[in-house]
Amino acid sequence: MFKQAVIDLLQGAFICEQTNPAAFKWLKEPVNHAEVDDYLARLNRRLIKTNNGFAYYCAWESIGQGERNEVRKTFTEIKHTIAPVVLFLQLCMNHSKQDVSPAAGDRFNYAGLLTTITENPSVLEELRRLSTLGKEFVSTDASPKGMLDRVVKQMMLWGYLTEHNKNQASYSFTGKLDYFYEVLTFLAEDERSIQTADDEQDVPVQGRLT
Amino acid sequence: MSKHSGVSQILKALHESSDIIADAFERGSIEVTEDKAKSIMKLSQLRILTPDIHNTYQLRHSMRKFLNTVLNTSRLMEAGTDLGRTFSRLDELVTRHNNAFMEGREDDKNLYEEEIRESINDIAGDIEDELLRISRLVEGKFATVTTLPEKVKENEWYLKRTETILALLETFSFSDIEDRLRGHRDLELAFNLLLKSKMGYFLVTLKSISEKLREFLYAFRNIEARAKLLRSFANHLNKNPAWQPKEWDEQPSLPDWITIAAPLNMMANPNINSSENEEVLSEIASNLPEFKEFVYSGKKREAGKLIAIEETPVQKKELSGLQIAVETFIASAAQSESGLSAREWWAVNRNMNDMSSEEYWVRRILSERQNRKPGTGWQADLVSAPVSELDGNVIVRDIIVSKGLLNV
Repeated sequence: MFKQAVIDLLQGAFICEQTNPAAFKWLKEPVNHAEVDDYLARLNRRLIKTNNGFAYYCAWESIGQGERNEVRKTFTEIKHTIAPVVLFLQLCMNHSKQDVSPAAGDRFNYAGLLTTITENPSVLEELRRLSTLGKEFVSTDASPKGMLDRVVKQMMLWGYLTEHNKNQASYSFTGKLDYFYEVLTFLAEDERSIQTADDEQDVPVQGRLT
Repeated sequence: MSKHSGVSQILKALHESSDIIADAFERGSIEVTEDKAKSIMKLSQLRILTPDIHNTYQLRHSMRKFLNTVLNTSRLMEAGTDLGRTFSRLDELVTRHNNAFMEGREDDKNLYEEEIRESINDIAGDIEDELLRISRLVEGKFATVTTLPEKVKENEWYLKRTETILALLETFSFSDIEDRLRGHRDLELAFNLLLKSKMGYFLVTLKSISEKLREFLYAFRNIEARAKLLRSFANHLNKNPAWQPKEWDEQPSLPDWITIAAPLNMMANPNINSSENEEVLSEIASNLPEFKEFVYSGKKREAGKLIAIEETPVQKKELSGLQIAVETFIASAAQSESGLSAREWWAVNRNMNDMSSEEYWVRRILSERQNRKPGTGWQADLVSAPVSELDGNVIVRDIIVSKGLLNV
């Protein structure tokens, strides 16, 4: 298991219960964690566990000039993903009709969301807005299914969704989502405007359409 | 009308629509259908139900809270869940049994033996049932309740319960019941078989459930905070579409999440010197289209040694002495403006074509004149004389080869 876990980590994978349950379970053992960490240290890397322990990934041990350039690239990529992923998660949250944000291991209700999108022009509009957030989301098929498929495909490429069964369109959120929330928490803690954005949202008034 | 008419009216309405209320409680909401529409409307007027989305109704918070309280209380009173009392009962029965034994009250002793066996059986059964029940609820993440606050409440209740049972079993493990049963063979056997042998499993399972419930509690509490965070972020991005975070990558101290190491592109080649890979490699090779017709000879290479691959023999054209002489002569003559005599050249270089006579040499140069394509940069002039008696023929005495464009 050591070999597979290390190779996956070096290749940039997030190891979690959903994507690689055997390696994830193995890394949870403190002895194995230490063994991998020691090995990665020789390559100027270290093993990191997300705040809630839902995923493992490989980070730089020390940051020199070369690593600093890589960090800049990583940050640019992260910045690029924030808006579309937030919008996608909000879409899922609104669809579930519960005030519960998706978490690692939760099932992504593809069929249910597609039905909601098809039946509700406002939700379809949200999906359309998502497709304006990057060329990755532009679909040649302008139907709700075509647009949703494009978004789902991109979320899989970014590692936030994993597919169980292609024929049944069955997906789950991965442990990488824990990492994403960690990023959002960090950024929100620094910016007062984000913390207060929820409080400032328009409160619906009876008799007034919102 | 009595002063209780209002309460009675509500209770009557609740009774008449108990199925609807139960459905709304268990499913989270209830759909308005033709047969239920009237009852739902009545319950809504009585502030028992409240409209939800998509033509559905849900229980008002106060009603849901009331039912949760009542059901939790009932659960506490369910038979078999009060393990503490059962343990005390067993302890007491063992004392009574030993007293009866010491005092020679055989009938009482037999009666207590029977009751002790039943009690041990009850305890083991109750714990197993409880473990199964909690495990199912934990696996389903308390799917029977739909809202987050209810899930948290359920989680907290079962966490407390699990830890109480765990503490009880740990105390029981250290109690002296086993010592006090020593000497009473049937009771010892029943105790060991039904309870003691399972105690390890019970403790491990309960600890694992407790750990999971703690994780859930943490996760459930996080969910609420996370949903708020997500909403805040979405609103923020909505209001500020061009928002960009600070340049965190330029900070001297970086948070972990930004220091993700750049992925390495790795490609491995199989070790062909290792016999371990032979089977896999031969299978891959035999499936290649290029090797479809290939029949394995069975000849094996010795491990660690390469087999010299024989090169395909290349037939090199070897020129004869005469051919070399011809080529050399023509090459030299082609540079000469005044020309070279074939016979003179032969006389000087006869060692190059010692196999041929002078006459043969001249014939050969003559044939070259006829065979070589015109325009190759040389020309051959015959030094000849007519033969009178043989009309039309000439005797070639020599050939002068010189630089030229066309053969003459």
